[in-house]
Amino acid sequence: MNYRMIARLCAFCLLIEAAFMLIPTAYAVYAGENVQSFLIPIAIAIAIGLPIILFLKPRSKSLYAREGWFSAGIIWIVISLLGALPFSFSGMFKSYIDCFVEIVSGFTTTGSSILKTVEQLPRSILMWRSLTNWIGGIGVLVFLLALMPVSEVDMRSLHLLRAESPGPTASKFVPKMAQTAKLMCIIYFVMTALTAIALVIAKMPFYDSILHAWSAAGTGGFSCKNLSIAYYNSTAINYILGVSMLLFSVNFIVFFNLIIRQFKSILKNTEFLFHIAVVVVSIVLITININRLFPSVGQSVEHAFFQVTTIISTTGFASTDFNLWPTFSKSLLLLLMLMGGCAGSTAGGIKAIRSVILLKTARREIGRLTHPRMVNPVKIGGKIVEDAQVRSVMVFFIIYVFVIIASVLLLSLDNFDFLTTFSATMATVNNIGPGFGMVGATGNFSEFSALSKLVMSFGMLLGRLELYPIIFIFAPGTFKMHFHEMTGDRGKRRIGKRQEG
Amino acid sequence: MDILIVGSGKTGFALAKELSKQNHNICVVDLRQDVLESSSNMLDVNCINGSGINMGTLKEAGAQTADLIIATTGNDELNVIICVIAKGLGTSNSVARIRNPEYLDEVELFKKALVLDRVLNPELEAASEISRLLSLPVANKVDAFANERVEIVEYTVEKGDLLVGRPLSKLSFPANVLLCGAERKGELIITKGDYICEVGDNIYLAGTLVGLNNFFKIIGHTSHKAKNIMIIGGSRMAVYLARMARRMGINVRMIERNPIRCEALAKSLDDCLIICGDGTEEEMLLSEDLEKMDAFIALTDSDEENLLSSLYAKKRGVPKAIPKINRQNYLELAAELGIESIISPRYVACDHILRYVQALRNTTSSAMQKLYSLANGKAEAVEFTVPGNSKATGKPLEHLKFKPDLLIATLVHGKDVIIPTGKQVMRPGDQVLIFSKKVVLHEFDDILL
Repeated sequence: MNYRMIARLCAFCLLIEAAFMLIPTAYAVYAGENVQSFLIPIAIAIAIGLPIILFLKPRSKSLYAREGWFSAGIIWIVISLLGALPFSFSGMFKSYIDCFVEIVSGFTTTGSSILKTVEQLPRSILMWRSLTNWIGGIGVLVFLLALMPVSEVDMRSLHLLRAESPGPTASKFVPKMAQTAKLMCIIYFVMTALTAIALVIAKMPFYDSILHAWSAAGTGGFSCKNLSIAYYNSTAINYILGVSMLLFSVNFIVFFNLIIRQFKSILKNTEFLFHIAVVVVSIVLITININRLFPSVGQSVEHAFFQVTTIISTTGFASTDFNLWPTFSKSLLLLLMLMGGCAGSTAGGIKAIRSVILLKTARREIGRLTHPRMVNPVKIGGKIVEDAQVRSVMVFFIIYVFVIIASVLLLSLDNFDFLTTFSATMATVNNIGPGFGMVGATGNFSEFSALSKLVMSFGMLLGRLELYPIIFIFAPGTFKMHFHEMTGDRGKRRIGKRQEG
Repeated sequence: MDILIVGSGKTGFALAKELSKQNHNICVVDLRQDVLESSSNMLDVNCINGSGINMGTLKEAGAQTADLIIATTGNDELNVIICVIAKGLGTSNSVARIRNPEYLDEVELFKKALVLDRVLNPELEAASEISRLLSLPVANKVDAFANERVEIVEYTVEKGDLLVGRPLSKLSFPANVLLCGAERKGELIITKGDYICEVGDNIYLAGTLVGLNNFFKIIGHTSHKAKNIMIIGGSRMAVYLARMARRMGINVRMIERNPIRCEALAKSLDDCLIICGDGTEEEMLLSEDLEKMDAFIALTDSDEENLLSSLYAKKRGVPKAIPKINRQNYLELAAELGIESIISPRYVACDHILRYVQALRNTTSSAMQKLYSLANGKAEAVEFTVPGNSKATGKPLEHLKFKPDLLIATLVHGKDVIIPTGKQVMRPGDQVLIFSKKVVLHEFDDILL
């Protein structure tokens, strides 16, 4: 494996992260808050990153599939380790583990907090929290590919993008990888800016608007208020954020098609249509179900809309305490958590496209019961989905379920009620944020044991990177491979020395 | 440029690889998902699964706005139809691969009737490259310019050559030959009077065939046109080559293993000695006078067989051995083993397309006739027709200020090929061949400072 190239990529990501840290640093200077909690991590990033980039030149720049998986996993762990430092230095967290869980929750755009109250945090720290949602939403590797000079990476960098980007296949808008990454960043940036402007117009304070725009764009859900969006109690803000979250849970290729005026391909995009249909049906059902809780139909629709978009986009803002809603609504929301947004968006979950493939495969197999010799491949948008892809989607789903089961089992050790345990798992693995029960809209994850917190951060990373990179890092085979390569290298060196002698 | 490649076979893949390296936007269309997957894994290109004759697929690939379509599916007729459809949709230029020898005579007709801009026949191009080498077997590579009246050849300087160790200005060159450039340790220089040749330098010479032959005689090589050649493997390329060789008056012995194929070869080739046998068998090669051959050309389907039998031929004293090698990783290996000339239809085809694309990009005026990249892209040979309004005409060359790293190699005036001196005057309508090192030339007058 090309360790030097992986180290180089990690170094670049650390520097990019440090560059992002300058934003809250600038705010800390402006607001007169503790600057050190940012300056030290920035210094560490530079101290580690620069020497690697300058002195550790890779022998070759090729990245194959395994380097892609491995570096995606490692990079996310490394940036989380560094990103947790500002929290740690701020002194507002109990332990480094808490900081780590909080930052993983940020980068994976989960948005669950281990803090009982967030308003007491310095505002620059709150800013960093929400910013991590924004960085993690599109993925740090996309920034990397957009910023890195073309000569830096080999053409095989699709392996990198594929390892990080959500969905069964990584698609490029344009033939060039770097160009695609740039376009994605531009779309992301512009849409975030529009959200922030809309929020300011809806009379949300400027600082809050920026933070909420970041969290909504990354579909993370970190808020700077204890009550989340319910604090503002504004219909306009609810709708703006609802629409924004819905847009960010849509495959970015839709916006690209919009820009190049390929409206037909949007209407042919099965995943997009399925996603919208699910959202509309869920809103109608939940509105009917919760109607008697609110004084007017208008308010029921508003909260149903907000809650459905926040859950299906895996954001996790709260406009009201949905813990108090009827069981049907809660069950439906729990299902939406699992489904999540579209592939190629910033949302989590198993993704709409996989749900479509699973449903169509199920229908095909049931059809085979009556017509055993029927030939009917799974088709999406008129195109055949290859059997290999169907199989990989099913395997993905199976592993996903196993991960959820394992996480539920481990969290059960803390002996909370079943709804809390189960929904905490769903909320973390699917990168939602709040669950039900103790971890509901008004609750938090502070009561869990250190083990559970680690399990949950692990689950969040698994969910965000869609299992494989993280599984690959910790798979026994990978360790064996490292071992063989290292000893193999040493063996070669020894032979070289003997020859010299 | 936006380039669409339909059919991701060997040639298609090599093209996609080289073109995407040059920063073009490539979209590959193929029916086979597994082939596409390996393309998308290894190259920075867009891949679309579908049939190239499907309008929807072509539209999805962006045929309306593409600058060039290259159809390289396995089927000649399909390639032509794909180009016609793409052109109809709005693609500016089209290249179709047509390999069937039966269409050889109709190619010009196709181009006109079906608005094809270029027809690609890798085997034919490769065969003609070999045939040029046969007329000057000492050279590593021979490229033809000005309607084949001027050649640029690559030659690796050997021990004992008269060139070695003397400054260029002290050497007397025959008429009609000019030393344009030299490549030493990967570095290319435009040679001047103070240049001293070393063993192992790759030098580039421009001139007429006769002049170059004289040149090689002077430096100590008995370089004459090959008279007897042996071809191993009766492939399509071998047929093209045998025909060309016969036209040049070369005696051809062709060895093919398959008796049925031998019959077909005997039917389609006149005046060639067809021998049914194994080209790696020592006895047979020797009994067929291998040692008396001027050139040995191995064109079987197996790279390994070609390489080994060429090595054997060299060992037996054949002055020139040319194996067909398709795998890129063998190319370097072959050079290390002392085989200077290698033919690879895939890369010949690739080269042609790359030159074509470069010319498409560079040319804004129609004055540029041809653009060749030499020495792995380190140098270029550009052929211009001098336009009437050029500032460079009417004055002796010594009074003109040229850009650095650029050389006027030859000038064709009417029927005369001239190696220009300082006194030479260019006139409109002359064909000028310019050898340059990374100088971007869009128009003829770009050669001036």
